[in-house]
Amino acid sequence: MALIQITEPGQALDPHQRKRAAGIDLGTTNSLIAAVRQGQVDVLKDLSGESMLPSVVHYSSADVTVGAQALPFSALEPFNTIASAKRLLGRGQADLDGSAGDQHYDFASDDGGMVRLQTAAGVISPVQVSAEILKVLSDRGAATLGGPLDGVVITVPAYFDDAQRQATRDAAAIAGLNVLRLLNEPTAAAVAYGLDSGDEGLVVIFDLGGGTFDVSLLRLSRGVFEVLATGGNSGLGGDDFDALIAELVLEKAQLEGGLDAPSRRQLMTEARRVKELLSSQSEVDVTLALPSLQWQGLIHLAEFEAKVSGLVEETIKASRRVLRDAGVTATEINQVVLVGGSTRVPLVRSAVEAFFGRAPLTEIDPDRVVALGAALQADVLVGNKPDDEMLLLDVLPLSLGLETMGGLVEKIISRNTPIPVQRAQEFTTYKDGQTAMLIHVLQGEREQVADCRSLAQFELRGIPPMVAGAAKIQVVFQVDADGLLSVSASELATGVSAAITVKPSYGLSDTEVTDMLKASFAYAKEDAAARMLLEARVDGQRLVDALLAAIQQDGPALLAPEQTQALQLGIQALEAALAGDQVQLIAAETQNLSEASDDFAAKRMDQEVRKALTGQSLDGVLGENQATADEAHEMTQE
Amino acid sequence: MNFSQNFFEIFQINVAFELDVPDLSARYQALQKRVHPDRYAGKGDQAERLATQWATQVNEAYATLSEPLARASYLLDLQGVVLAQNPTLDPTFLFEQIELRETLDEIRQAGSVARAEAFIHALAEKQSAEAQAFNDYFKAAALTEATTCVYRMQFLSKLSQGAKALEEELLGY
Repeated sequence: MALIQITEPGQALDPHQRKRAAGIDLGTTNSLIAAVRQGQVDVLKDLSGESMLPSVVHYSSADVTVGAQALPFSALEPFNTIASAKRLLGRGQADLDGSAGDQHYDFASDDGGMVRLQTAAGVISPVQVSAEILKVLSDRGAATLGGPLDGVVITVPAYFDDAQRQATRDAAAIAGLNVLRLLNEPTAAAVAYGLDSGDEGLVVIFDLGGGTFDVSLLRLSRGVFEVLATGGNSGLGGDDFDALIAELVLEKAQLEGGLDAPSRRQLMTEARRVKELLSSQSEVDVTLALPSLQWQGLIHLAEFEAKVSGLVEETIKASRRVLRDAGVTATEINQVVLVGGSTRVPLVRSAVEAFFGRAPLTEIDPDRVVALGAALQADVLVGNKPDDEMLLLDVLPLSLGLETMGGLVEKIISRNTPIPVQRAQEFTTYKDGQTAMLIHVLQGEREQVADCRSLAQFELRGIPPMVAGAAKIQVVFQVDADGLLSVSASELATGVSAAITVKPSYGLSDTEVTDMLKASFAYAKEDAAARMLLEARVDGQRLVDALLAAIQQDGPALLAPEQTQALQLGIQALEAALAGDQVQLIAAETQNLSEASDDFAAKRMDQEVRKALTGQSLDGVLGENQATADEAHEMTQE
Repeated sequence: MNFSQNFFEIFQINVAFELDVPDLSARYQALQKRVHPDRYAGKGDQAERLATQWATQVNEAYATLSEPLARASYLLDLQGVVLAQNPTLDPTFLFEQIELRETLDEIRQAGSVARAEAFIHALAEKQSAEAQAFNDYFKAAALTEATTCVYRMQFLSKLSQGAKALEEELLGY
């Protein structure tokens, strides 16, 4: 709870006030954490000097092991060793059928929601698996930066839908992280490149990772990264290439009957090795001595390329669509950036180069570029660079809609709409005296409900009984800057706001997240009450400090004397509460003061808006200087 | 929050159909630099909520003004014109629409991407001619004629959306 803090440009922060911020690339195969230190951005290493943390978690009845230490278990205990959990986030059983790697998990009984995994430690959600990875990275960050992290930016594929984003947010909450923003991976990559070179123009980010594929078109100008269009496939990546190599081996070995789980795991590991070697040589010698598969032979680059050419063609098709969405042709593109380990595959590189007609940029390690960009953004968001002009403007990756009669989807917000965005839709009742209504929210581009992703069902209750068609129920969709959707509803004729019960289709309920948080090891160690008191005090004190500064700066101009007095009384009441140790009282006084200062905060925001188009920031931006004498005065204040 | 400003006032530009797109884009970016919630990340619920509301409003204003049909409709709205749900249009125009729809159906049956593309291109020219006509009428304060132009633009826009959806279908997206 704080008023808008406006730090004037050029005002340097006290070095002791520098906040600890980090960027986290939560990857399908590997995860990384990066941070800005002494003006330099770099990935943070663990004690043994490793920067990449394999995204693998091993569960036993006694403990949880993450990363390289968990890897050896993957062949021994495949079902207790969870790899590629990112592919499972926000996904139901039906989504995964037939995709690469689905045979590596022992799914708990399917209740139609997000998949759960049967392990030696009980039934585990992919959200908890991701939280374990985040905790290890968070500890690494705290150890390297000298204290707990104040805030992090976590990257997600641009093509992640609402359920997948929400699952990532939940994982961070369980790991005890303060998430400043979910940032799209391609945007992060653009930041990592853009800040170094100060590029302007149209940039394509082609990101083929372990399990996901994204292609985004961005316009860079004056420190603004504007996403014009994005596309891809959140279930296509290096894992699929590995699976195809494994298929090739099985075809060559002419194996009758199936593979047991440990052999399959080892075959996949071998397939990945073959794929990596084929990036620099034309054939690889393979020797397999697995319990259910013994084979020796050669895998040729040409065979591999023939197998994966369909997948590569998919990525080019998605690229074509993104350009089309933005109304841009390939020749207008100024730069193409490759991100993700799978872009090391020579066929991918040559296909990208042929389609865009230019050699792609690869200077920054494609495995690190996303984490580096996220760290730069985290450093800005946490407030370490108050005069930084960088701004990322993102879009909604997939259209949002509602189910209408006949199993059809009506689009409410179409894909590639800049976020945050809000759209309202009106509904009416179809029966006399109807008091409840079910609303089904979907995400996707297709017309049929069955072809789109179900996000949630909303039940509106408490609609005043009226004749059919008389009620006017307005449902408001709000998508925030993280790309997360929230829905509210009210009956317009009577002003009654309908109660909403949300049933996320593939997400966790708030109670489940809280339970998982309580169950997590990190939380158990702490005294929950002490933690709540501390958090309440931090919130309250932040509001007091910000409000005092705001009154000093803008009080005389924006507040009447009695308004200032009222706010000061509120500040005194909150300060009195802060001196005590009653959490409820502190929270209540914080809430009161926040509400009492809402109007003042809104006025300050309006003032900011006015400054935006009259101040110094527009010099050289609008082509001609439109500043009048009055505005010139404002400029000198900047 | 001062939401009583109209979308043109938000960007501090003249209320007119003619618009300098790069200039609007620069103003949009300058505004978002001030109001985007990223500027207020971690600074408390109140600040983030206000910033989100403003950024949403700026996005809405930008979306409305940067698209010709939305801009034209908005200009009429500011003049107090209420657009009809089922407007009456002159038979010649309607007949032409029917013919265009038939052409689109033929393209669908032929499954020709190239013809779909040419069709979209031809429609774009019609749309831009209609927009030019709107601009002339609106400047001359001939609101009735300008309103008719908007209805025609609505027809063309809907047809163009259908053609683009068909092209995507044919391309296998």
